Amino acid sequence: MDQSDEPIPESEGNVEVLVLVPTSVAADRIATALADRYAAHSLHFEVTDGPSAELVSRIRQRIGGTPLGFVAVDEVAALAALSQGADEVLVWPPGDDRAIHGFFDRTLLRASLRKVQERASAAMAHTEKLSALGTLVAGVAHEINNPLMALQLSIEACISSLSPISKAMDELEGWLGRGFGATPAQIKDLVERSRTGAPSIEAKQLLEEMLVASSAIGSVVRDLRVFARADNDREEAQILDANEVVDQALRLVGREIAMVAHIERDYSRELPRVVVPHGRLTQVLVNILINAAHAINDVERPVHRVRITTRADAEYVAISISDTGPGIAASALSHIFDPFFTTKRTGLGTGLGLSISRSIMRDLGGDLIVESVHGAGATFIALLPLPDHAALRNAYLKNRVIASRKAPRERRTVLVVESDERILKAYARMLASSCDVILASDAQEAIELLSSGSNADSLLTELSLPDMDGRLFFAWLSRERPELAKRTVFVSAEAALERHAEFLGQIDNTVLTKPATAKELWAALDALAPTGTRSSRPPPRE
Amino acid sequence: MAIMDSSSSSHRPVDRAIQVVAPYCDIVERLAVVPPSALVRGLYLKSLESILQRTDRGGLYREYFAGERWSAIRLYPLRDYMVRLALAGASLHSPKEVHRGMHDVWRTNATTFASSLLGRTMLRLLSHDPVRLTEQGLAARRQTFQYGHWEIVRRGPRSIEMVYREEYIWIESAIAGGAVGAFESCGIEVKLETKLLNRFDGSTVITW
Repeated sequence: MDQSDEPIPESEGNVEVLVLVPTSVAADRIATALADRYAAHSLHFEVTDGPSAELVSRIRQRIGGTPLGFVAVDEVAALAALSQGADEVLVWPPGDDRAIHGFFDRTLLRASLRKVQERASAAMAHTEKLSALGTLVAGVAHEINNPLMALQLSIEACISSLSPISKAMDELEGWLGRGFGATPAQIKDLVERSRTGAPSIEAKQLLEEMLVASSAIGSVVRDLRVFARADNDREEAQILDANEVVDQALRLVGREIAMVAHIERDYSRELPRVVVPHGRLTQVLVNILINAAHAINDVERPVHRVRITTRADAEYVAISISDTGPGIAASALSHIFDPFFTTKRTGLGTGLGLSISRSIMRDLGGDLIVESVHGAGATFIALLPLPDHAALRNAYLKNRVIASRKAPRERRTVLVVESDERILKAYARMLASSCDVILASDAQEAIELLSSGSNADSLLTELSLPDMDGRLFFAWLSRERPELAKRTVFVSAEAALERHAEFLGQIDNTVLTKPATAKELWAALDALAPTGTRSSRPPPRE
Repeated sequence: MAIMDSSSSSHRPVDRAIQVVAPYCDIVERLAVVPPSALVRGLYLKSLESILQRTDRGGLYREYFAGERWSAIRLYPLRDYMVRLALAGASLHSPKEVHRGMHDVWRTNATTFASSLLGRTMLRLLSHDPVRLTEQGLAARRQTFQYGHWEIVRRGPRSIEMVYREEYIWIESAIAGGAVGAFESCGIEVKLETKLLNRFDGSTVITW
């Protein structure tokens, strides 16, 4: 029996199929050719023309897993349609009805294979997630154990401060049992003893600390749940602030990075909201951050940096994560997103993470790209499309709660420019407790950062810098960023030298002489900080 | 069975545009060998319109491709771009001077990329160092064109060569213009010499 005459098995049931055709004549011809053999299926036709690739991609997004056939006018359009999600293509005109039957059978078959493949991909994603969990657990255990310990200590202190009351109650009960024979002096003593160790202010403080500690645990659990949900394809898209999603991913894996590198948050302060499933975006960011953590362990540098940059234009939000690891060789760059391709040591990954991450980003209508200078580090850029009005409205109506209604970040950002990596590292360590710190090794890098949208509340810079010195840098600042020029502190071993006297005499900025103490640095920065961002730093160490 | 009509156009402006420039460049021969897998990001397609708008010379271009919308980040077939690049070049000067026009269009490509979201995130700023700027050009190309192969070869302490292989865009005019524009926009004085091995392979030697 001729295989091409085999009808689609009955078990397939009534299948909805969409066929894109170049003309209504083609639709009529196909409908006629299929009428007898495929009466059980619901066939739909859409007449299309012009650039096919984008149209097919849009229709694929609209119809989900429905089998999609594409009738093309030439091979080029056919290949483009296949690459954008068509299950099968037919170049028009077909030889005879058998070509149409074959086209239709293959459309159904490939749609069914695609479903199988999607299930397999989901299973692989789960495997990759289990691998990522190994890294996550160390950080998460720390994040939970620290507040847990604070909670336990506070509870013990609370119990011990409450015990005098408990003892007093026991004694009072004894007196009552004995027919109450206490003298006024005994009663006064009892009242005094019951107060010992349990003044109401201390108890209130302890309870407040317990609340803070339990909230911290709650945040970690919430972040983990977001990560766990990422497997769920049906996870609803939410309105999100990408900066907050990055912060959340950093809470999960930041500790792993912070042990070996300085984390720079170079966030755009006017980032439009995106509408994406929270867990899936978190999964991508966690994966890239874990990669960065592994990469920086592969090479020794005075100070390692992981810089997270967020930027946007009218169409997309870009989240870029750069590390100072060994980078990726040009020959490996084109394979980095291939499944099972890995440059990591055995046991550090399955080689699926980046492949899955890019699939997720593409599913979300965005992309994940990589750029690297071999030997100097790698940059991954996650691109997320901005939602249209309808998507925003829809997400708002479904979720009701916008995931990011918190007050704007209160931490100030300090840009530090210093060519000595050891000093750069010391600054980063000192300032990171209460500021977001962006590091630049010279004035040119600082200018690049500021020109590309980095925001800094204050600037701490060496006066003697390679290529472009502090004086020229300040001239650029005064011209391009006059507000930041006013909030610049100079720190230099050469501040007292005659050659700087004229320049320093012309400016009103604070100038500190190296070695400057932490107290002096904090005092200089605090004097420049916007109101409301000066608190919550630890006492300076001399 | 339901039949819906999602488009009414049936005449292809692309074919008519090709006819305008075909007598003055080898676009037909090139399109015949460009694989469908060769793609380019939309930011360069978007930039064609803005260049023409800025110079107020978009009349010819708009006769064929008026009101098209491109996403800067998405990838589009290189064939679509090549036709529009050639027509934009013809529109900028004249169909006879299509190569000069493509040269001038590509002169702005470095700044087009540097000011795009990808450029701002990836390069941040065009470098004033010839080697670094060439590396940036290579990185930008890697992220925005998906076909062929470019590489940098060191020729001496003050000389490098950007080598192009399977480059379907006109090396002798457009690509050469891109090199001129990149150094020009950064105020770097260099000597550029673009050579062709054959239609799709060549190089630009940069000396300073």
